Amino acid sequence: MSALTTKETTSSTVSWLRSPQVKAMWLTLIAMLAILVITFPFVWILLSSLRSVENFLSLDLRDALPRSLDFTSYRLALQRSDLFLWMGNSLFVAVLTTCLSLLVSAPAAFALTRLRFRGKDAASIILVLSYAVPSIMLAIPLLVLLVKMRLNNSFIGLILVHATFTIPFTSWILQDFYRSIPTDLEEAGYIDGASLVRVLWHIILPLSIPGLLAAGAYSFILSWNEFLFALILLNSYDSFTAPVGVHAYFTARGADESMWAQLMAASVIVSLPSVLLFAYFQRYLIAGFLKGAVKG
Amino acid sequence: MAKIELQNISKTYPREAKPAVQDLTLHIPDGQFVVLLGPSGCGKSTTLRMIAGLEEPDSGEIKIGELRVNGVPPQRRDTAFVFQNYALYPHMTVAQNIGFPLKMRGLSAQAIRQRAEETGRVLGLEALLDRYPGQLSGGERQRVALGRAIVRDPAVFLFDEPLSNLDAQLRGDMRVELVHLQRRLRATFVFVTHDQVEAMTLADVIAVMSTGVLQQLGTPEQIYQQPVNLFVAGFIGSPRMNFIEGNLIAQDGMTFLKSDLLELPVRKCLPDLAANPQARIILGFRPEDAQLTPTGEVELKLELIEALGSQKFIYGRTSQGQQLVVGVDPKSHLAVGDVVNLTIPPDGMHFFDAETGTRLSRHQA
Amino acid sequence: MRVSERRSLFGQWWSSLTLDIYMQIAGIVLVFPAIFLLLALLIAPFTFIIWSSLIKKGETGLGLANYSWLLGRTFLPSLKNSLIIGVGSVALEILAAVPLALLLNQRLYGRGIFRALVTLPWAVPTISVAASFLWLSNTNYGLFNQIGLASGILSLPLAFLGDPKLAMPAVIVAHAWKGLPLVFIIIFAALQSLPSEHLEAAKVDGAWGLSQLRYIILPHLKTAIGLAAVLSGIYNFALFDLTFLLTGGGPSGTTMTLPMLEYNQMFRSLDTGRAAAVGLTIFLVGVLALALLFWLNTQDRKKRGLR
Ligand SMILES: Nc1ncnc2c1ncn2[C@@H]1O[C@H](COP(=O)(O)OP(=O)(O)O)[C@@H](O)[C@H]1O
Ligand SMILES: [Mg+2]
Repeated sequence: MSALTTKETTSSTVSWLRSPQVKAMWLTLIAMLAILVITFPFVWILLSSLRSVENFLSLDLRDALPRSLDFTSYRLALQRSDLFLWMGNSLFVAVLTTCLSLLVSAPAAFALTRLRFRGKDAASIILVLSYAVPSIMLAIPLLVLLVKMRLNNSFIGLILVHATFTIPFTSWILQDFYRSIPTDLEEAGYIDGASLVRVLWHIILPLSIPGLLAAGAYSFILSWNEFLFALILLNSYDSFTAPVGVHAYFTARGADESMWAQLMAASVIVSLPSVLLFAYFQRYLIAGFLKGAVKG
Repeated sequence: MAKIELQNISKTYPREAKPAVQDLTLHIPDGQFVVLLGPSGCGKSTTLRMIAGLEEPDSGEIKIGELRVNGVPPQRRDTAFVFQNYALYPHMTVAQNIGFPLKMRGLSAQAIRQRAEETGRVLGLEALLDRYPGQLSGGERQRVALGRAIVRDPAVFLFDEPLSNLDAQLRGDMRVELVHLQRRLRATFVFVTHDQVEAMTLADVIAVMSTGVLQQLGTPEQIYQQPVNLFVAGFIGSPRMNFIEGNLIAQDGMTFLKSDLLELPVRKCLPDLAANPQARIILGFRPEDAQLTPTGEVELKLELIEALGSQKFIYGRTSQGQQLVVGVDPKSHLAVGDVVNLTIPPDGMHFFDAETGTRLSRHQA
Repeated sequence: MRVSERRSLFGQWWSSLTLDIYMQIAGIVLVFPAIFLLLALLIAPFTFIIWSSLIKKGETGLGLANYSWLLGRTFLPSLKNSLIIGVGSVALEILAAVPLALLLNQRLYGRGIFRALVTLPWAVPTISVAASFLWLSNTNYGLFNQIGLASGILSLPLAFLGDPKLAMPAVIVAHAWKGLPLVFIIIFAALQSLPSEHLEAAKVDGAWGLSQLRYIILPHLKTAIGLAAVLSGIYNFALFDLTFLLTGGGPSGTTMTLPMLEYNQMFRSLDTGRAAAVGLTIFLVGVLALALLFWLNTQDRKKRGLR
């Protein structure tokens, strides 16, 4: 504080450029540039998808930006491919994965943050470790096993597999959320005569709705975006999820460069649910990290 | 309505080295207002939570009424607990909060509403019944928490520093109200606080605790006038009791307390030192018990004067450097640097064993 | 309370349980579905993969043939490629994330929006990331080539993902882009936990600007950077889909990573045993990296404890 003032008065030309507001403006400008660079790949598919199909492959740099909003690419992508069907499949898988993982991770997260019982440490370790196992290593044995159980090419198999990485993630977010609910409330519930089940139902559940929504959103995003397992486990055109469908549709016509416009539109469509959910719920994720949920 | 008996209760939290409560025996008669008093971390809350069943003791027996409740879950102990932060259910209205214990007992919605309204009326909450806790002031929340406790007419009421989040004015009002409530319900109240003024105003009986151990059980007067050990003597009363450590020596037909910093004649109020006349002892006297007299034996040079309106305390040093605090007439004109003489009346002298800290009873001479 | 009300509390079967036993049972019951599901879906495949890695294609007996194959000419280049991608992308991520975190920790307008936008790539599906990078780097129509040619930097269009020299850097950049949010969040969180009094005290002691960064901020971020590096490195090391979609391991194997190799062994060569052996290697490298991080952290703590 004192150092700050002396420093500024000694450099007798106290320029207005050094004032906090101006500094903040400069920094904001720099930040905007940095963000533009970072978001550029996404911004670029968005811009490209809105270009008119006629000059899409124009080599003139002036045609790189859309002149007006042209949704032809979207129409073509939706009409010619089965994007609607695949998105429906993705929706089905992502919603059920989310329900399943919330259903099992909400009670688990509660028990891990609130109850004293033997086996708790082991359960936490299993949750953490299962998140650390790389998908590609699991992919092959899971495929073989699911084939044996006749669950390959079925959504049930894919949902179960997606649950292996959504459950640890939702448990983590929910544990963090439950820690923010004062223990007093449950204890008051017990004192007031409620059993554990009723405390869960009447007190914890209503209070954890925001946490459940956030955890659900993330689980949805993870499942919706997932590519590898969907690629390996689903092998009929009708059962593809959106990412796999897009991949299949465009690799089948790989040489045809007029497909680029459609690919851009399809990419935007597939990204939209995840990006919108993330935009709404990102503060929960960041808040979780900021509260020190991640410590070496 | 029930008495509470704690018999040799001990509790150590998992992964903690020191016990939170140690061999605590406490019998609370039916219908009494008992305050557990002690510095923070001394195990008051732990004791209260063990009565409520939120923690289990490692050893010892807890009885509520005639029933041994060890192992009985909180739902079945029939206690009401008022938390420091009120612990109101944020997603329920005031009426729903108050009615929740009744709902858990399967009363009809109509009966619940009716009794919630009655309770609300008693506590002056009629107008707020349909508000949410987030829309209430601290004092109002406190009342709702109280309402949730009294609505079901429990065997005992447990309070864990419920007033510590209120401002001074409101705290005073709530104390009075709590005392009235207890008189009216004639229920057993166990109230935890670290605030000695609160304890003194509320309690029929105070249990002073320190480091998990019960130090003294007694009425506020007993605790104040006859503290059983150095801890209680030092903890109760503000400013703190003055302590002077030394030996008793006889000289010229008089008995003196001789310390490195002070030599003080003591008359007619000698402790019973039959066991070991050489033992070092500690003399304690409360600031408000010392008197300024021109003939006083102790000379004190003033270093600080604390005027509190109705009270005035002077802080000073004897010529040998012993620091003392003395309460004086608030209207007296004294200034820093003045030298006063003070005398300590025999009644105001407390003697403690320097080694064990326990009170030494006086022998009548 | 009326007697009837009191009785209703005593009637249930659980009323005879003590609190501890009650919690024990409840804890197990509540945790069970999640743990059971995870174990079922992890242990069975794990056992299976170890088992099948010991069986040579076309044979039935157990042996180490698949592991000795790992020493051959196919595996080692892939291991190298994966390591390059893991290390390279993490280096880029940290070079970008630390300045960004410092910047967004300053007082500036719209900080929350910036923070959200930096983390956005996390939510973009890999298929769209790949599509974007493929389009941007397209030889004939991609923006990079257009700009390069128009500005005269390039005389001929480059096939970024088709050129053996350029494919690997391009793949690394794509991985770094996708992994930046996680690294950013971890580092940003650590930065936020730096008490501002430290910085104030440092200013009073005359530490400004760069020296403040060097002596106070970076040491404070050390653990977080290590954690982020290892987590993100393992992730990118084991990531299949981005490489698969961008290059498919080409051109001429220059971006053939371990996950790609595993996939090819399984679905092209139909050799489950070799695929399993590769899969286990990926897992073991990850475990090693985590162990290294753990070891470094304990060493660091010891050193600070001694001081
Ligand atoms: N849940 C707990 N786990 C571990 N230690 C605890 C827990 N609750 C309290 N303690 C410890 O037990 C001692 C007594 O705590 P408490 O009963 O809360 O004291 P008080 O209410 O008198 O302030 C303290 O040293 C405290 O740190
Ligand atoms: Mg307490």
